[in-house]
Amino acid sequence: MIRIRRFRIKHSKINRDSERTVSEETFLPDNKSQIGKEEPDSLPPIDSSVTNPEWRELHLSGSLIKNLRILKAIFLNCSDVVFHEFTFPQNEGTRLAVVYVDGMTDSTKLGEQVICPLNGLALDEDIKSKIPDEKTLEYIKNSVLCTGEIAEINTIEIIVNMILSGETAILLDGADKALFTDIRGYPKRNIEESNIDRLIRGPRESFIEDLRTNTSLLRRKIKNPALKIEMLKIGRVTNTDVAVVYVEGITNPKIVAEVKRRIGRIDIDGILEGGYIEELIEDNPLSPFCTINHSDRVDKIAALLLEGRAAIIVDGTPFVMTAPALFIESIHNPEDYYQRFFFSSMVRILRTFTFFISISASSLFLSLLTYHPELLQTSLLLSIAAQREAVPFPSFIEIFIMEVVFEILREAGLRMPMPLGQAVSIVGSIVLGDAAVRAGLVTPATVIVVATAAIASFTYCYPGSIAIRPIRFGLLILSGFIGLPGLIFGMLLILIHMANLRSFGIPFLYPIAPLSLDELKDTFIRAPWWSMDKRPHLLTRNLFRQAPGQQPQPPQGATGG
Amino acid sequence: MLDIVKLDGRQVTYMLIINLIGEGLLFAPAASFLFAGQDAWISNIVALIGGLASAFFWVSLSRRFPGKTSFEIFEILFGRFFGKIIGFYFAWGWFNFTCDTLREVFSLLSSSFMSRTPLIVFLIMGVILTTYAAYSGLENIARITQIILPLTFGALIVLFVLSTPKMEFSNLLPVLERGFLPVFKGSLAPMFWFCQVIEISILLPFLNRPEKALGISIKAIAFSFLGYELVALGIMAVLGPALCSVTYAPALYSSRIISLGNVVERMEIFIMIIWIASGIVKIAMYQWTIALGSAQMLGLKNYRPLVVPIGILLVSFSVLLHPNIVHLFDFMNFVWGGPYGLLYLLIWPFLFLLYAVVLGKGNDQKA
Repeated sequence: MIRIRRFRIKHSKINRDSERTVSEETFLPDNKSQIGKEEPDSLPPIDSSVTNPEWRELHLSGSLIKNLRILKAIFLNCSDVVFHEFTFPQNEGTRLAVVYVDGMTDSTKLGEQVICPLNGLALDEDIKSKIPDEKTLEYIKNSVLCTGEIAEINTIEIIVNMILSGETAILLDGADKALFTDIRGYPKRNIEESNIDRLIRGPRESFIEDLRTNTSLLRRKIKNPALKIEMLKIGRVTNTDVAVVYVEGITNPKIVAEVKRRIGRIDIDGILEGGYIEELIEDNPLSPFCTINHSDRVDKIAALLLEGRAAIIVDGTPFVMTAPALFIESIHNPEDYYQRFFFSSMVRILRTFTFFISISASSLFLSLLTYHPELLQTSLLLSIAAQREAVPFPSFIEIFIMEVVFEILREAGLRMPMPLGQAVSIVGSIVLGDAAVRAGLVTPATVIVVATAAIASFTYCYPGSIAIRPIRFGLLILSGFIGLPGLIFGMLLILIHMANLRSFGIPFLYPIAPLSLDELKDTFIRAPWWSMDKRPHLLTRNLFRQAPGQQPQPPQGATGG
Repeated sequence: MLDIVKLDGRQVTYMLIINLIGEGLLFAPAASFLFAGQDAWISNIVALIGGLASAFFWVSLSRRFPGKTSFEIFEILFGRFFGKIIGFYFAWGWFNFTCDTLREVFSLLSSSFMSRTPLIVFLIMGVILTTYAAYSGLENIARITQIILPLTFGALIVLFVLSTPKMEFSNLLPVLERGFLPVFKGSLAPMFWFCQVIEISILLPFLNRPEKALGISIKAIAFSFLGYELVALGIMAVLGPALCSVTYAPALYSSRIISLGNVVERMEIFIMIIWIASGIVKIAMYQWTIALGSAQMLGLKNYRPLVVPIGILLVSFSVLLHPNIVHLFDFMNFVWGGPYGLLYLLIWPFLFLLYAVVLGKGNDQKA
């Protein structure tokens, strides 16, 4: 079946192609140049498959027919690639071809800035027939095209890549170069507010899927030539554009070089999201913690760049990655830097606390209940014991099931079609929880603890919380087996692991361990801006963030009457 | 050098402090309470002198041989053969003490919280942690210390503040009831813990500014001394001399008494967390030290292959060495915190230093 369908498509393409060939052939006898002697069919067949990239070695020749043959063979069955051929009005003997990908080019611009000028519609009658063959290319480049960026390319591989990335190629007879003009235009998502990282006070815009838009958003935040955006291409099949962004003079050049080296090492067929790159370049591939941070907030990325990190933008995803990433970033939110510092500090302390709640509340509850009831207050213990009397399961099973149910609800709420999401969360959280308690399957205390832990995990950054979610179950099992010592064992194991992590050479727990007292200003608290004079010293050599002593003072001597 | 890492002064200070207070803060007061009763805080002052002397001996010995750990220094001082014998003697001392520490930390855990779980479970769990930490290297141990130590001190201060309502400072009177001899006897155990500043002789080559080593050791001893005094005074004020002299872990029992408004009570969970966490860090550091020392004596390029076997040996020896918890605590308090331990940490370094100075070995910085 598939074969037949393919064949049909092929067949229709061939029809289209053969029509064009016919038009070429009809034109051939009029052409005075000697290329006419070459039979197009005598050219060797070209395989455009990814496994057989022989065509990459080819170069353009002086013959338009031959060049078009090659390109058409490469773009065989690519119905979106358009070959537009016509005669150059200034020199009747010269043939032209415009090649572009339909849908990636702005059709208005294409008409106004390329096709019309080339067809001579916008030209004086006087200039007609004045351009000699060998100067046609120069003439078109300098006088006809009125678009911004024009490039001359000879290699087929680059030509193909540029056409595929949306640029328009102009080929002409007698020239072994193709002219490229960038009149890209394709549908993009609007710049919207981030749905992931939300805030009250601060810029709303977030990145989108288009790389150029994203770099422009960053450029608008950091208007400085020191903001460098280096482009790389990764993915043997997808040829995805990847940009490494850094601020020269702030970002440690070693980190930038290391980022580029690791990205350059990647050999993969496709990059569809930054996550591919993240897993291929991180320091500790087996750790549950993210040692490369990501966000779709422009202001957050700009702030991290200014602190001496490098950013990696991948075309096709709104998530920009930053490296090196520190653990402390996961309890930070861009809004902390915009709100009053007292409030921000309180919220950060709260997030630290909720981090511990989300990781250990249910395991702590379980081990206290099962192994160390003597550590609970007597009246509390009696009340919990009374609740537990009616419950048929051991506490471990009960809490474990509740945790799993919560994970199910969270996943369902995320994957449900949007209109259903709310219904599921209401049914799930209220109805299910209430019914379970009423039916005597779980104790209300368990519901409270598990729900608190779950809600607590939403208070800090999402990359931080996805690291915690699998760990929680391990801790739960440990404390189910060995009680509080098991929980302490698990927490110490996590601590040793985290102390062992590095992100591009920077210890993950910096600036807590290795401790740097001055830099604790921006960790669990957020000191006022006028006191944070220096950048973190392990991240960058350029420590001077701002002039010291900028604490605002009331004007001297202006004491009111 | 087997491991090219550099630690800053603060990291080494933290490591030394956790080395000195580690589990000692919870157990050492018992011995001084037993001898000196309400004068245990004076015993600590006497012990301080011993600790400072030990620090001075080790640091001046290490300074004569810059960039060498004590195991390498022995070989330079006494030649390859005798140096190795002395090195193994010290490695055994370290190993023996680590086994006892491991057993001590977890046997109290098993006897006071998890009496029906076999001790071996906790020993294996603990050694898995210490092996992981020791295997991942000195820098990692330093970073863990920087997180654990502030928590330990914070929890101690919170517990001290919470137990103030129960404190009866008349328990500290009369001062020097039975003269100086009991005070001196009671000072041996804390002195042994202060003398564990010997770890500086291993850490010094990794310190980024070795000239600060003596200052760092003194700072570490001073901080630990504060901790010991806090515990000795606080616990004695809470429990009184009679109760103090019969418990093995007075800090644990005094924390059980804390009760504020029927809400803040049963705080021994915090003591348990502190003592497991700081004990683990200390054991990890010692396991790393033993592995490094053995590797240096055996001429290995890397200490890491030795970490896991040492961990296994730690578990088995900590079970084998003592028949029961009473034997263990007596051994800790009166043998380690007595002639055996002080011979290692105070008398030998003095003799080594004397030997080096008299024979003029190593480069004398003053000359």
